[in-house]
Amino acid sequence: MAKLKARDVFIMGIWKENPVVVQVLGICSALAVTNRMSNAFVMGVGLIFVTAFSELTVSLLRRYTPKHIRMMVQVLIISAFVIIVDIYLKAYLPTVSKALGPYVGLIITNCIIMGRCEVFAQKNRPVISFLDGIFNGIGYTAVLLIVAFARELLGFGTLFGIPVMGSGWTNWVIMIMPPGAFFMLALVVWGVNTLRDRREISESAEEAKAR
Amino acid sequence: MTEGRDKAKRPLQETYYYPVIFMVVVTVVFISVLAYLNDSTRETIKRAGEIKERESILYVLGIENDSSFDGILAAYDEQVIEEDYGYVAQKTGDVALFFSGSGLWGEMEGFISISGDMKTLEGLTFTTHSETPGLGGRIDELWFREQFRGVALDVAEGGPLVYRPEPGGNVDAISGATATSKAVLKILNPFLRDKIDELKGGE
Repeated sequence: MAKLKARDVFIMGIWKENPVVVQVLGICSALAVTNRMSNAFVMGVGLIFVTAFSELTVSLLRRYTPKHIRMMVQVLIISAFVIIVDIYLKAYLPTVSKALGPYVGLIITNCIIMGRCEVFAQKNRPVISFLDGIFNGIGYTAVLLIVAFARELLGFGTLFGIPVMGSGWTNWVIMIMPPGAFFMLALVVWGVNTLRDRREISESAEEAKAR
Repeated sequence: MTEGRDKAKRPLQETYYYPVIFMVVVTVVFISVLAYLNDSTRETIKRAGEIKERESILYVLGIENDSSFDGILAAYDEQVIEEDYGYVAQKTGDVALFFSGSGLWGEMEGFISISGDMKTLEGLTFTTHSETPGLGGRIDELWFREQFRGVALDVAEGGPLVYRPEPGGNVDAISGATATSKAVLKILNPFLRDKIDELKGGE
């Protein structure tokens, strides 16, 4: 593997290998917490924190961890950081903690964290792994916010809980039900992938011209 | 950390006891950190829980406060008398009662308050529940809770609380969350009937 720079990791995490639309990881929570922007946002922040610190820790321990028990070690590390987030929210942001309820615990089972620890942090240095965690977390959060934006706007007529659609607006109840999540996420994945393919085609065409 | 795998470590890594020791050490380290954090924030969490509870009691009794921690505590100390059957508002004589029961997805807990003469319902709020956010979870929204203020407690068959448009309906259910709405009344109606009997009998 060639030496990775922060910029490469940034582009990969947010765009080229976006965890949700390209790697198709973390779909569970992307469906579950996107009925409101605020839920999606806090979930995203929690995930960024956990992914970054888990990757950092896994990377620090990577030379000492016996190969065949590395999964166990990763799960232990991830759980520890999730519990830290949970305790912090309970102590200092009780209202947010209440609103999220079971979602914080769900971060543990998010495949993005495990996936990035296994694919990236096992092979790379601590600092770049930490950055990889942050950028993958941001990539995930961005997709969540796009989906939540559409769902909350159409389903509740609000954004971050502030009414924006006016009183004449009829809420599309389907958008806040589970099917709405499936439709929206599929549309976003489709849209982003189409965009990316087009860009790649035009990029390669330009390269061919340059030759 | 940067040089390649240390050749001297290889044999140690491959011994049968190394993974066990490694796992034990890592576990102990992480658990210690968590235990420390848990211990150092326990008081804060407990206090936040108590304040939250008092805020709920003030809300159902209709006592104004500025929602700050100190404001809640001061208002509670001044205006609420803790009796063995419930929390009594000094000014109005309303009684706040703690209730619990099964919602759609899990335990629901909260407070409900009734007037001193037990003729009207004065307020309702939930402290814990695990209903679906955005659907059943809307029982936390103000419009839903506020409609329970001032409902006449007519302990007739099936009452006192009935959803519109049923005959004798006095509150609205949440559209898209029928099961949760039903669960709320299934908890509250028997609770109210029993409590009113109990309080009336006790006087």
